[in-house]
Amino acid sequence: MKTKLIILFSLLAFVLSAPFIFNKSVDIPNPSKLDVDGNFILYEWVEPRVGGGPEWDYNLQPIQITDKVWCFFGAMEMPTKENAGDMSNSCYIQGDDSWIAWDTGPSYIFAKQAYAAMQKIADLPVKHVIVSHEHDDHWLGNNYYKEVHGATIYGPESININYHKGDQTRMIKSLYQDAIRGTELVPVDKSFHDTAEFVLSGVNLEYVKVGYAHSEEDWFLYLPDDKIALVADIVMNGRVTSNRDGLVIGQIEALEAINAREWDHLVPGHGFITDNTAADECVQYFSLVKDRVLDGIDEEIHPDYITKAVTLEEFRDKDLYYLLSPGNVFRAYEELEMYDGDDDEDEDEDEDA
Amino acid sequence: MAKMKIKAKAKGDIVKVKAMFTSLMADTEEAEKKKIKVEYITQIVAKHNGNVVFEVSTSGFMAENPLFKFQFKGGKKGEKIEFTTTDNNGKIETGKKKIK
Repeated sequence: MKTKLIILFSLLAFVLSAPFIFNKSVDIPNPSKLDVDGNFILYEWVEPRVGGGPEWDYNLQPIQITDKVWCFFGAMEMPTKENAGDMSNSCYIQGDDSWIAWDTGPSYIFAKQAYAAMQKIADLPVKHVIVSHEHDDHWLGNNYYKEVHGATIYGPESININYHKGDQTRMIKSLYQDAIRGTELVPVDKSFHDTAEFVLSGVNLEYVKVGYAHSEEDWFLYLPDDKIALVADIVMNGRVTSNRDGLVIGQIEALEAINAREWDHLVPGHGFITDNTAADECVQYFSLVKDRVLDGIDEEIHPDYITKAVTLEEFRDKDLYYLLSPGNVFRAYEELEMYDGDDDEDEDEDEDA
Repeated sequence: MAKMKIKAKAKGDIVKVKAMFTSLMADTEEAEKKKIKVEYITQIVAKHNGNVVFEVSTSGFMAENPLFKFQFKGGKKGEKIEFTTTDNNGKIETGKKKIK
């Protein structure tokens, strides 16, 4: 009798717990949503959590560099939830009747707070935004200026080619909602094919194309009257640069183009040095990477060991050295393996039969 | 088709050569998948002073932009090494490079 009762209670417990054991409450509306490689895309079916808390306080303090130029300097870090993407530099140029924004930071909220800080200096709208390159720590604030100020956005064509509304960029994926909320990818309104000189709101500007350097398409801004160059990520100082999308030779040529202009101040994309030594670290870094990697290739060091053989001891005490420098060396190996210095001469020798 | 990059360096009586050929190396299966033309290098020949110093038959199984390394004896600085590539459509291309 006792055994029968135990069996009966066990059966009853199983029946009562069945709905919990065979829980089908997670509903995947389109379970066959796969990417091109056949991997299941998780974020496709998770509802975005927008949140309604207060906006992230970036605590932005503009630093005046010249009479007309103020800049915001970001942390010497990778984008993290803790810095809310505030790890790049962006600037404001004062025109006659408007501000000109040079790079717009990592989010809508960053741009909104940057403008609020600049409004205290001069209550002007932002009619023009100029973007340096396509990395998302430099232009995700564009939609603030577009939506609120109706600004015209000048920038590289590569942004319109490589990014589209709704894309989940690195920054959008990595920040908390209280920082990234409201950020949308908006296209560039006006692109140039080559270096352009123009006047915006009474300010003489030279928007210089340097091509494939730090990214697929890099530009810098030169203000001849103020003798200042706003060069974004072609120059970084105080930290090691990231050349994950760039080219060593392109970087060296871009730095030559910057140094060919007469400037007293230079604002890097990352870093705090803005005097006439601002570009020195980068010039030295890329020159050493090029020479040492080419030597390594000559000595037939296998690519697997190039990061052991080629180190940049001179930069060991700089921020992000351990995180970025080995990657830069490895990428340089890939780029320079067939580099021969006089490739232009060889072009003439290639011929179709 | 193939644009080629060549590096040739003499060390003593040995010439070390690296050559990279720009080609998608797309065989039928890959071309169908990517909706591009079937096009891959089928033969690469390197000559020095008229003598064949390297020859290889290739196919679409190779990775795109194939890179070759080899060495031969008897080359001197200033002399030239000449490459000829033939693709599956019979297109022939050549490239020369001075030995450094």
